[in-house]
Amino acid sequence: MMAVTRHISNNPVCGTGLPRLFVLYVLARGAFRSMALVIGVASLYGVLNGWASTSADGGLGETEVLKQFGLMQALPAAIASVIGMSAWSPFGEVERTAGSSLPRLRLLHIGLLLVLGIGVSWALLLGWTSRLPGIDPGLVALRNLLGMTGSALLVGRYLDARVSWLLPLAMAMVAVFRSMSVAIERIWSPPAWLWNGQSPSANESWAIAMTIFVAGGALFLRVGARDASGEEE
Amino acid sequence: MTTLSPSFVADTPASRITQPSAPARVTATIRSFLMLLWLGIRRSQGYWLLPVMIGVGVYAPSIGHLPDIVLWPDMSMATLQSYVIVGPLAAALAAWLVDRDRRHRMRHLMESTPGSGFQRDLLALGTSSFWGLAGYVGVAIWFCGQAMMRATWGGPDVGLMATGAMGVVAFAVIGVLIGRLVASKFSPLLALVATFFLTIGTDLFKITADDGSILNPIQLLMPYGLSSVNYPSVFYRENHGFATEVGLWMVAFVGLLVASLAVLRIRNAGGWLALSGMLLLAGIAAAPLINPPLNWGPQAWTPIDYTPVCESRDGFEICVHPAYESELDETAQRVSSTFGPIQGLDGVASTWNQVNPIRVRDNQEPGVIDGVGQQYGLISSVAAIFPIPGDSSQHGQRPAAQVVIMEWLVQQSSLGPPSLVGSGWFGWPSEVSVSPQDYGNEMTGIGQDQTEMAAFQPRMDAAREQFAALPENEQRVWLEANWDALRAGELTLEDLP
Repeated sequence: MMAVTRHISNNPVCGTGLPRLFVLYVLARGAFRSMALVIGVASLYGVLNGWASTSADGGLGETEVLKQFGLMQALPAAIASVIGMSAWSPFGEVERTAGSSLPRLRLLHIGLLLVLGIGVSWALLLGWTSRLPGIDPGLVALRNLLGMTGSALLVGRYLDARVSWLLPLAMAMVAVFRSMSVAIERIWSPPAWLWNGQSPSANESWAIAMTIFVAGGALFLRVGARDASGEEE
Repeated sequence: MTTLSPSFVADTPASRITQPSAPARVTATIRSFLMLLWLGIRRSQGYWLLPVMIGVGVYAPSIGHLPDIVLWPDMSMATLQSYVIVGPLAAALAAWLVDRDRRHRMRHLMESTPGSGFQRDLLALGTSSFWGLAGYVGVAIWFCGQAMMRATWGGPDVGLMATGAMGVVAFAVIGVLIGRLVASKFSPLLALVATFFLTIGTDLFKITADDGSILNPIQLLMPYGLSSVNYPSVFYRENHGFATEVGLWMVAFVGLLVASLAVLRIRNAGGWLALSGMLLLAGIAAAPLINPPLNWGPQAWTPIDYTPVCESRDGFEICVHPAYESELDETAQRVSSTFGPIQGLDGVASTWNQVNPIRVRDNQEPGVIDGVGQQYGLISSVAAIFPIPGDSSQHGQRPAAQVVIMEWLVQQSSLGPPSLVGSGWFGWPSEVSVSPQDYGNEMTGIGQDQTEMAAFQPRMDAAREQFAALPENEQRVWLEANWDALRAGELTLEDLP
């Protein structure tokens, strides 16, 4: 079967069908809804800019730092969860056995969503009134989105793609809860393992995030999300 | 369906075919429901969530609650606060479970069976509540274990912990509702985000009345919001019954949510009647909580009696709450080194008492320590000696000479970090003008002129270092001679030695 698959995928004539395959692939995964969700969640950066930059009484207090910090955690986690959940395959073992070009299709699908998430986030964050002195919100959002997407894909690989929100959102919840419990000047210096709460100038946090991203991404591209058979809950 | 054979019907008198009695039917229904529930609990993936619930649930509240001194009130509150993590995860699990018929493409099949849809929703609710409560109990065991081993004061606050447990169940019902209304693989995500927002939304959307009382319904009605308002203290007790009032409200809230769930499936008069009844009950239960003047503010506290433990050192008498006895020695040392140079001068107390931090914020009185065992504990004690001149208090400004002496005093205990100096803890020097500041994005305010301040700061640092370099007796002589003028704010930087 492997030989047959390789033959089909290497055959230049069959190869021309990749765009068609890609369209079928993304349609089967409800990718348009995922794209809409990614754009919707990322555009919250723009929608909530005013709310996160000023308090109700017009002041510029610690609450605004908390709000912006919270958005830098919650929105990347939500985008990563959507990407992770859209990795779920409705066909499971059948597709894995018979499908061709799956790694390429997965790359195109996840890459498209990721680029969309990064692009919209970045564009809207450029218009931000940052209340985080010395911190570039775009970099924090980028690092968190990459690392959290990696962790979502890892959960999807080992548990179930439909619960891939578990890890990114748990990380975001911890970071947000911590930021609300410590003095405002210590917000950007959590313990080293809480990489998503670090300042973007902390190189270790980038190292951890990129390791998770590469590991999750590579595993997903090679093997795909785990098949959770219909009988299981 | 099997039909009775004609011979059986013919041989059996009608009186011998009996229906089970009503109580027996109820028992059988409950028994079968519990058996199904147990099946659901065992077959669900909830156990995957347990490590996350317990791990994150213990870590998150520990950040602010595991200091050197462990108090039962803190541990009870930490347990309650873990519902911020456990509750949303239970809600996500509930949304996941309730959507299973659709996910397995069995919705139409299940709808054609005689079983009640509401019962299946209740099974999802029971299963997710079970795993949520299991996680919550795990967290509670950890925090209570810490308290049992190390606590120096108080006892477990069962009402507080039970409130958190009710919060977990309430969130599970919200999860079921979201899962029923939004039939999608994204519904767990939505449930998690929505319920997490119900916990922290409190701190992000502050709505307060003119007198400072809180009007945000999320803050007033959700356990986390209540926890940030009613923080338990070793000094004061809340007058209104936290356990009874909030407990009643949470029960009514869960009842209201379950009734809404029932109406989604059973749209008959009974369903609507149950919903309106629960709405009424929840309204009655919420009324005392959303009426701020009754419940919030200092009038709602009763002091708890205690015998302070005291230590005399260098002519000072330092007293702390017995729960903080292990910190007494360090506190006494800090008080004596900070206030030693100005001992006996006007306005400097000889007896120092630890008080409830909340009280210090309201009225600054002499001889008060608020943060025992904390780095910044003596800031407000020093500030209370130097009243801010009335005309500039609106911008927190005071003469630079005062700021310099105050910063020097705090440095005496050598426990304050170097960053303490110049960070504006004691207000800004009135020599630097305030000006309208443009923060961009059409936001303006009144603030310290940054360039002017940067130019002025070195002068203050130099004055402080110069004063610190003087011999002790010369410092004392200068302080005694200029004390009243310094406190009245009449001295400038040039008047310092």
